[in-house]
Amino acid sequence: MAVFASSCMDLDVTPYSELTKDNYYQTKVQIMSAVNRTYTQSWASLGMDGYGRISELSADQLVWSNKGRHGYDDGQHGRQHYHSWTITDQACWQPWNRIYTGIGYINNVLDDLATVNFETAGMTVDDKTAIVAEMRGMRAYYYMKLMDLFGNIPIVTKVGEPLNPPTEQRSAVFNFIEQELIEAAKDCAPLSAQTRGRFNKAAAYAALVELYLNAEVWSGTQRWDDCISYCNKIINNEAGDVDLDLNIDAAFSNTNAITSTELLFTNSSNKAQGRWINPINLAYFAERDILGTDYAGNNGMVCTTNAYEAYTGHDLRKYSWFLYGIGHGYGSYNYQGPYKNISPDPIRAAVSDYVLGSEEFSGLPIIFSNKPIKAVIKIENDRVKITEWYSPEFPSDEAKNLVEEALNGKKTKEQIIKDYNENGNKEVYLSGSYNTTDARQYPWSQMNDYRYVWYDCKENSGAHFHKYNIGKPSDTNYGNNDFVYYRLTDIYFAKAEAIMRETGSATAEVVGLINNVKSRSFQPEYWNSDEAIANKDRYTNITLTFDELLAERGREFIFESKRRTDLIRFDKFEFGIEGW
Amino acid sequence: MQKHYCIQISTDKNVLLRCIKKIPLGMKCSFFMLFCIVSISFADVSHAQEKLLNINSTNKSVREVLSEIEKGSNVVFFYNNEQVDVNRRITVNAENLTVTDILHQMFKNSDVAYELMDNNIIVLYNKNTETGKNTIAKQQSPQQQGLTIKGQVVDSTGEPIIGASILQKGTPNGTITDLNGNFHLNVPLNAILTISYIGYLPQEIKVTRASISIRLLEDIKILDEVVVIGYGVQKRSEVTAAVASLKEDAFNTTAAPTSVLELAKGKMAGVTITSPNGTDPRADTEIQIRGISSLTGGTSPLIVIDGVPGGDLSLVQAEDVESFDVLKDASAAAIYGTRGANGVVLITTKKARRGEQKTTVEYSGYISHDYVYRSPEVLSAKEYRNYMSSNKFNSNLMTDYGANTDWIGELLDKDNLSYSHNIAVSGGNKNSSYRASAFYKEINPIAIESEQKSWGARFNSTQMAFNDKLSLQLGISANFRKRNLVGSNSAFEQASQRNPTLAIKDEDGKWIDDQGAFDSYNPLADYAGREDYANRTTLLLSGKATYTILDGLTLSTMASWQQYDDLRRQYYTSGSKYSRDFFDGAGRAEKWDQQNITKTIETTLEYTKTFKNIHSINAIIGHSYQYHVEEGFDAWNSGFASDAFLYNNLGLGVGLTKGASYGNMDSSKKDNKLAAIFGRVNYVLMGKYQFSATLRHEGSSRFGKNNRWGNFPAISTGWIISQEKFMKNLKFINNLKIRAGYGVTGNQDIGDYQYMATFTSAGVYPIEGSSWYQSYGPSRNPNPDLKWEKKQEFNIGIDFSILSNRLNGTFDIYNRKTKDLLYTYNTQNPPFVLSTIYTNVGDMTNKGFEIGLQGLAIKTKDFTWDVNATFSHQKNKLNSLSNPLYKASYKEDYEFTGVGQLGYAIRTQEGGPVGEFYGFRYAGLDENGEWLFFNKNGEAVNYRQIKTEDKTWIGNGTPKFYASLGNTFKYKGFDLTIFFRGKFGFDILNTKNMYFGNLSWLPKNVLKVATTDNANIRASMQFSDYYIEKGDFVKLDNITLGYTVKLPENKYISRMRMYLSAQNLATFTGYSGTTPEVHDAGLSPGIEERTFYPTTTTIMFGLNLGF
Repeated sequence: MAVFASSCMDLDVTPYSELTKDNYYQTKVQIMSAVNRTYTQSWASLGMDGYGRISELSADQLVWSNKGRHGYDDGQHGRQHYHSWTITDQACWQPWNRIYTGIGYINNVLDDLATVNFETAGMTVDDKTAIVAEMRGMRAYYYMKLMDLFGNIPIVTKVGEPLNPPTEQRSAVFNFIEQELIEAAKDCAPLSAQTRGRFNKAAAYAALVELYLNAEVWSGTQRWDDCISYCNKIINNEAGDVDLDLNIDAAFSNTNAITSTELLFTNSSNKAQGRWINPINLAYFAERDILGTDYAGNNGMVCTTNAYEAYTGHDLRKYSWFLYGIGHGYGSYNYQGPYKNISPDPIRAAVSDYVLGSEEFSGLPIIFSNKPIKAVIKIENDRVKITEWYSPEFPSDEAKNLVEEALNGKKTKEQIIKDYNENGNKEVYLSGSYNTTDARQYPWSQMNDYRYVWYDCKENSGAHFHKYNIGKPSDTNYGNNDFVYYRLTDIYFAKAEAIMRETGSATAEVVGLINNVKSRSFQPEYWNSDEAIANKDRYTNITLTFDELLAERGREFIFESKRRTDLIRFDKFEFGIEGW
Repeated sequence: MQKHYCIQISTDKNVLLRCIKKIPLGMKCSFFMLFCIVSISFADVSHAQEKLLNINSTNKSVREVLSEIEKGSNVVFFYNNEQVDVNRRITVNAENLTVTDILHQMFKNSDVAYELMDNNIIVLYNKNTETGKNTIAKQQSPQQQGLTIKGQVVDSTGEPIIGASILQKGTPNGTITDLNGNFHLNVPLNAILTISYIGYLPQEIKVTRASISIRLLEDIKILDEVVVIGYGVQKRSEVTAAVASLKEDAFNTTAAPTSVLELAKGKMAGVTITSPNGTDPRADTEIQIRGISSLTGGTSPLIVIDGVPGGDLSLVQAEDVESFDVLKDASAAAIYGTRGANGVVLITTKKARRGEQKTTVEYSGYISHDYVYRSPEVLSAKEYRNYMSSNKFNSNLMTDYGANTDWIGELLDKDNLSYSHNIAVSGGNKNSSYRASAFYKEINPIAIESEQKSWGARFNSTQMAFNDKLSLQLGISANFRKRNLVGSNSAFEQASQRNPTLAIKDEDGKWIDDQGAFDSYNPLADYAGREDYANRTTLLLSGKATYTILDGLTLSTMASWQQYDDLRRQYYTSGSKYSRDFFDGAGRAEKWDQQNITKTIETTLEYTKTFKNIHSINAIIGHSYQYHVEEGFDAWNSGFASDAFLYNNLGLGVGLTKGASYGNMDSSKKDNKLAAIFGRVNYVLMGKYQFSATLRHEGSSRFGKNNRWGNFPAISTGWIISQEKFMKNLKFINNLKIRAGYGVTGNQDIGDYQYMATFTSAGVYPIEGSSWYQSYGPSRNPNPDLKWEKKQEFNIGIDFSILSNRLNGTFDIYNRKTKDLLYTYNTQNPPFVLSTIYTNVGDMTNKGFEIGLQGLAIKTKDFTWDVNATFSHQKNKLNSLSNPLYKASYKEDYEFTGVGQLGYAIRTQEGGPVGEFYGFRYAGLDENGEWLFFNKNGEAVNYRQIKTEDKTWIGNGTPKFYASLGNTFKYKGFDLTIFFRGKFGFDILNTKNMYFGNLSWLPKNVLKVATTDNANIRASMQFSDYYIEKGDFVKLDNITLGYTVKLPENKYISRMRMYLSAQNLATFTGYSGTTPEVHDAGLSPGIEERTFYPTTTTIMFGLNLGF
């Protein structure tokens, strides 16, 4: 009977394809793989579907617009835009879960590491100290993001305890984060090639900079001096060697992990291994045809007109960081910057063979635009000729010729001629509205009636994201752009702002810090001209006001999920910004 | 099996048919003697036996000689196969002899005696047996001061019964009826006569007059039918739980037997069988019993094939099924307690009868053809152009590419033809029997690239040994199936919305695709660029040994091994859109396989005994142990230089070296175990008071260590009231029984290891900056308390038979409550790592009733009309989703994906019913053609101002009522079945209308309705009750006309039936979509989806042959 009971009632099973705590943590790779779990999670918790989305969409730079039948999405994006979100909106509750899960992985690994024998795994006690500091620092960083979004939050440092943790006041959370970051900063490994992508000492200092920069909002107490002192630690290379990049693209390129000199804290990327920034919500449907890449977008988020128009025509960022207009690679027609040659795959690169719209502009060339474009045409010698050209944004003949070439492309010409001959269609609309009396022809940022702001866009409305240029599938480093949390530019801006807050206006040091960073975005001859000063591209202690500082932060940190926090700190989150 | 033991020699059809009719089809050969009637009827009324005959037969069988005598005279012989060896070879030479003389010559050296009855009937019998004596005894006791009474025995239709036996009770005095049902018998006054005839209920009558007429009632076989109840069988009359049963005769004349579940579709009250994907051979038919009772666990019943729990339905062909029994309520299913929460379906396959001498061969086959019953009505190329030139809303978005393409039509194989062959051989002798069958089936459905071929075989054998004390049974079945998975429902969605003026290919023969269009592709190009085959091999081996230890005490052990192996291979050619989009235009190949093995061993000890004909007891105890293991392997690669290798040389691609986005491999293995001890006692007192009690104690490895074991008790009772004295006067009631039962069943149909804390990989990350390794973290929040979902069910039922047994019915009413619902709850995060935990919270109830009726509407000599009807009602309610630790007030289902992402269609709220649509209420269109919805204050507002909180309940997709009506007509050799089925009281959300019926869908193609009824809508699609319609329908599900050919006696073919059948002939509904037959199982019922498989009508010709 005993035999019967033991064998025939036995319910033991083996999770063959899964690991358990008991058979894990045997080697350094295993220990570090458990430590890394929180970094793979941080894509989700801090990326575009976590912290990033609400931070961008509730601010004034990016909008998930309604484009015909696309993008309504149960109204959720509109609610973020108009600050009327509800708790059931995914963009609101998801960051909570995802960030706390990131914290949970850390709590879990800290619990487990307490009993792991590092010596038998081939590691030292110092390794353990550094790893524990790294994890505590990363956890504090997560808490800072949660505090930023949710204010009063529970603090938990051990899995499952307590079962129902109480909510702490924001000031208490602030103090917890500060203590944790200071302690972590002591033991974290300095910035190096080995600690890239990890919460290193530079990350700890940068997190403290952000904490102190926003201290007034978060704790009620100004901490400008502390902010400046941690900025100086970083600038003085106390956390590792750093220097400003020489151009605007180095920090975001697909070799940024190696070639950028200013990255402090990043999340590592390797597209071939499945880990990359994947800008699906920021990419046009046929982005793969535009850029010659291998991913499709869902044409979700685009830039507001304001955000795009905030750059002057000389600002290289306006071209390199956006897809706009038409032409080779959509890098815009008069762009002369380092990415002049962004272009689709050479096979697809001919203008006459570029991307066609699939929705409102089905069968016509896609021109990313904020304003309507109309071409009056006639047919001459079996060729489409533009006789009149209306485009407030692209008035030049060069643009007109480019479009004329496009209309004569293999895919478009036949249909246009047919429509012309059979239906008498002599006007071609390439952007905006078909009905010139329709209010929707106006740039949508100028419309105060919310009905016309993010509803009623078209598939080509707005400038599109191109800050992280992932390259071509044939590149060795295709898609390996590390995602940037902090770079030295952040520190320059923070230090400048802290000084300005303390003194009440821009000092020479402040102007120097900002201009130092900003000069990279302009051709030197222009930068050094008086025109640059007149255009407020190059600042003086008079032109660099607080509003201008906020505007410049917007220009510099667009797509970096910092805008909501900035607007709050400048007390501009609720209205008061043009276009709202 | 049931056979007609009637041999026709006569050419007189009337007599023959009368004979046939008198022999009930449902005879159980184990019960009674096999009678054979050889008949002939000449007009000569009397002294036929005196006629002089010439018979010259050499070495012929007795049977043949008797036939010759009948031909030459007008006598009729009655004999019993068991008493008279009619196969004995004899030689008879008679010239001008009387029948009596000839018989004397034939039987002088045998045990056979013969007796002349009234008129022309001669009874042959074995003079050594009691029965024989009885039948002739009346002549030898010419009697007793009595009177000679005259009588007639007729059946319920007034037709005479030939050969009924009339016996004076307590004496050997008796007789049998003649060809007209008449008899004469000399009995004393007040004697009691017992009148009996096989297949009829015996009747007693007191002799008070000289002339009596007796009407015998048919012994409705359902009452003594054997019902499979799990680990045993029970007489229908003794079943105390809600058990539905279908036998072979219910299958034969109905729908074409394309699958096992089709056999039972619509025929059992409370058993919902739906094919939302129509006749797609690759789609599963859904089966759900008494509504949904779980949120996240499985909702399909446990399938038990010949006693093997967890059987795979593909292992059984419809032609092999002997009975289909369903344990509906918990008191019945508790014997399978752990997996019985969704009911249990017990499939019993055909087996040869022991002792059957003759080898029988049966063939059945059919060919069938599908045609489209209804398709979404999209704009044709002409209509598209017309609208385009109309200058109406959005017509300027449209483009005329010049072609005329019927995209949906292009995906159809209009000349489709499917066929099936099934052949079965069975035979046996005194100690062993076997049945073997094999089939080949090829389904070429209406949709291209969707065909399926399958073939397989079954073998069952039984061997008796040790003086019948030991019975050894062996069962082997194998099924091989190959499916083409290229065709898809998504392709039909694409076809519906594709511009009809687009050509399929350009002039150069290249596929035309939409460049970069969102969620759009040329479905034919997609088909052409892909190969995708799935093979499945399923195998079931089972063996059972039963040893009779003592009379009534048996010990059985059953062991089985069920295995299936899936092998799937897929290739995207270098030219395909998918390859162009993601793999730099090079081919992509994938191959994966999966093996599932289930091992079961069950031992039972059973005791059956009847004491003094008062106490009847059946008790069983048993042990069950099941081990299941699954292993999977998957590898894919891209970057192939040539398409020639397809998926047959994965190593040649370069993708694997480029990283996980270009090639990968994966393998997995998991297992689970179930162990149980169980017992059941059935007790019947005086045949009319019945009790049953069951207990199963079971453990499942899927649950937390703290709660692995559960107890599943059940109790039920029945009372045959009609056997009580006080009911005897109610003549119109032939049988009346009430039943009541209560039971607890469980559900363990969840994933493996859900309670366990495991580490799982979660993507790569570098260690020391450049070495990339998988990261590992907890895969779930562990829950050591995870436990059984338990369902408690109370059932009350009535079985009745009235109006001379011509109307039988069953009525059941139930209330079931599922407790400890397994659900993925949002847990406290923090402090838990992950935001969800799989745990037990909440409960739901299902209430309902079911009615099943069987009636014999007309029965005359040549014509019968049988009616079968079912009706059921059910109501589901989610009572609670919360407890003090976990809270959830509602659950959302059916998310609108793709364009627009309009949220969820269905919200199941605490305290509310399952399947409730939740959305906005349509309030008209404004002057711009934009949606107006009612907000929560009842005001009509523009949809852009509507808020989430303005959503409300706008319909329910779960049918409240199900009904079916089957009519079977039989006239001579013809049989005709007309079967209707309907669902009532539910709503359907028409998502095709919602998306394709909106002009903002242009320039893609739209439904015609977009340009008519919906033409004023100027805004993009929104989810509201505008698209919710009543779904009620009645479907003419099946018409089958069969003809059983009357064959002259021959050595080869014994039975031949041909039939012509049509399925899904007509649907009567007010619903405007393509089909109201949508999902109604699960948590998101009542949705007509955008993707679809065409709704078809199937016509079929079939042939059944017996050899």
